[in-house]
Amino acid sequence: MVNERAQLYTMEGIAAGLIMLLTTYLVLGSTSVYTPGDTHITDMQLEQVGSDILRVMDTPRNLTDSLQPNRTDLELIVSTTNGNGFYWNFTHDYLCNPKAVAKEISVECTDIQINASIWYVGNSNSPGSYLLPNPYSGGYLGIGPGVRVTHWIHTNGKPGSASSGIVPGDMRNEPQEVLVEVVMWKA
Amino acid sequence: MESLNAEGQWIIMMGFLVSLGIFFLAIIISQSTLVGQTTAEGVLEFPKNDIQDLRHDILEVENFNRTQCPSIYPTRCGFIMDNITQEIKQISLYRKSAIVNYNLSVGTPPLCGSDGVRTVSIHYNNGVTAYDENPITIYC
Repeated sequence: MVNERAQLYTMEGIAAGLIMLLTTYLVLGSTSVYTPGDTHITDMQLEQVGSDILRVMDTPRNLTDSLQPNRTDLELIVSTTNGNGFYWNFTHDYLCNPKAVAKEISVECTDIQINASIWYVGNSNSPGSYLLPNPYSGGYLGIGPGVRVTHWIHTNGKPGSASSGIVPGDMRNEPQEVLVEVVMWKA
Repeated sequence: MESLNAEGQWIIMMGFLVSLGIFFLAIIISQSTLVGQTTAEGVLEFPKNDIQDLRHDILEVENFNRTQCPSIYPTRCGFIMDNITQEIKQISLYRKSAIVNYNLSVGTPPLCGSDGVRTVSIHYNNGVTAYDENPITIYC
């Protein structure tokens, strides 16, 4: 038989319960747990930033230009195998440019290391690659997982090279498509 | 046997309800981390940049084939275009794990139909995402 005593205690119990619920909600809502799965979010941002940079570098300097050799910065860099130019352009002009830096990226741009290679199909009809020499690497280090961003380039012939031995001999000397592949990771 | 004390039943009842509430809140919070992960993975998996990039390059190849190839390389143009197709197919398969094919409509130079239109079709499949664009109309 339910009697009619202790209503005030009951109300107190309800109030205490509500306060506890609210506290738990606020405490758990104000913290976030960084799970291994969350690293994908920064990877995603890095991949997007890298792809965007390559795309901007492959934009014609003069938008009304018709198709012609070395129409874009990236085409010029690839056709002259200008490693210095590529890494300076990519990191200094875009990734770390204080005027253009992607604010959303969750790591400092100077912590990001990049390595670029060119993929082509040679005379033997099989894919090959060579590295764009990086003068700024100073020895690679890395702890983070890397992302790979790529961009297709139309070149008008076999790329020239500042120092010999970079561009492989079996590359065709005629118009061709090559894939610029940049690996980006957090050092 | 001593009879059960019937006092404080409401308090016990509310305690029970509150604990259930906390339990459901915990479930919602654990779901939110899962949602963040799958969203990021979904964005990483979807080859948006690859498809846009491939499309951009194939349209540039079409432009090259229409405006430069026959005039600069009158005898070797067909050979060069075949090689370019092989390059796009092979490197896509080798580096991007994607099967790619494209087709440029043929005709006499300047490679346009009598209606001044050329069509390009693009097919892309990386096992997760399939993309077919057929046809892209180019007015030349």
